[in-house]
Amino acid sequence: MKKLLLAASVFTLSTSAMATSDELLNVKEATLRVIAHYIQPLTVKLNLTEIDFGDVYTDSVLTDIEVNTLLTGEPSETYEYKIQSNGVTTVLKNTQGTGTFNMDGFDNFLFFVNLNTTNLTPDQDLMEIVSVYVNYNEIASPSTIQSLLIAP
Amino acid sequence: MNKALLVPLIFLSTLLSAADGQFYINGHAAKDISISLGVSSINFGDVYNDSQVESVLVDFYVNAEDSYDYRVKISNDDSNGVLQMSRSSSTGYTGENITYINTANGSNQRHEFYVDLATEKMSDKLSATITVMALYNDIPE
Repeated sequence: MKKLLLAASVFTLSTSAMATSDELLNVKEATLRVIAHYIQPLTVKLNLTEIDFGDVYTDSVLTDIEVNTLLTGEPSETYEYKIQSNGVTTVLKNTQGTGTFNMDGFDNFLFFVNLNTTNLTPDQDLMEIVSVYVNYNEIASPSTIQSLLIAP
Repeated sequence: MNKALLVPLIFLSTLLSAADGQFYINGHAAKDISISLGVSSINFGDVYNDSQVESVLVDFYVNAEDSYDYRVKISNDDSNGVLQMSRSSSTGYTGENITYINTANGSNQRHEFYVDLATEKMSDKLSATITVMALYNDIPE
């Protein structure tokens, strides 16, 4: 009696196994590879956030203030930069150029800020913003912008 | 207890010993399901955070037994949710599996889906595999 029950169980098990096997035979797969090269985002950091020239007078001569621009981006990729002021009093030197990120994705450049005091009038308060625009040369990506406040 | 079990067994053995005559076994060998992809790789090239990439159309063909239902499952192994797929070019993109059921007609049936990237989720290169699977949904007996 037990043997018969056991045989019945074995038969059931083997039927299940066959069903699974059948299902497996009816599965077909195809695969597709998807790749994309991720470009490291450009970051721009200035060593100064504000330049305060203090008290100035008409035709006073001021020393250039050096601003160091620290960049991170895609290793070995070239970039270009442009520096602009939103006013007429700020004088900028080294306002555009190009550079190449090193193998670690870092680079830096310097620019200089001064004031044209010729047209300044007494008690004139001045506040201008200098913006640094950086973008990749050969990759169509938006510019990264960092700003610097100029106040005499 | 033993008697109770014995009775159906005797009945069964009677039936077996009485099996005399002809019977027919009918079966239908369903054709092996087949699938073929139109492309083997997609290269989105240079991408960056928030960049807009053009979705890419992928088509594939499934050939299965006429009038049989089969299930299609499209999956990918990108765990970051960057790789997005949809059966429509404009809506419904998901990083999850896509499954649906179709009825075969015995010939190559064209299917398509679109692949896009959620670039805002990217922080590294993408290298993923999409697997398209077809299997009979229910083999009729």
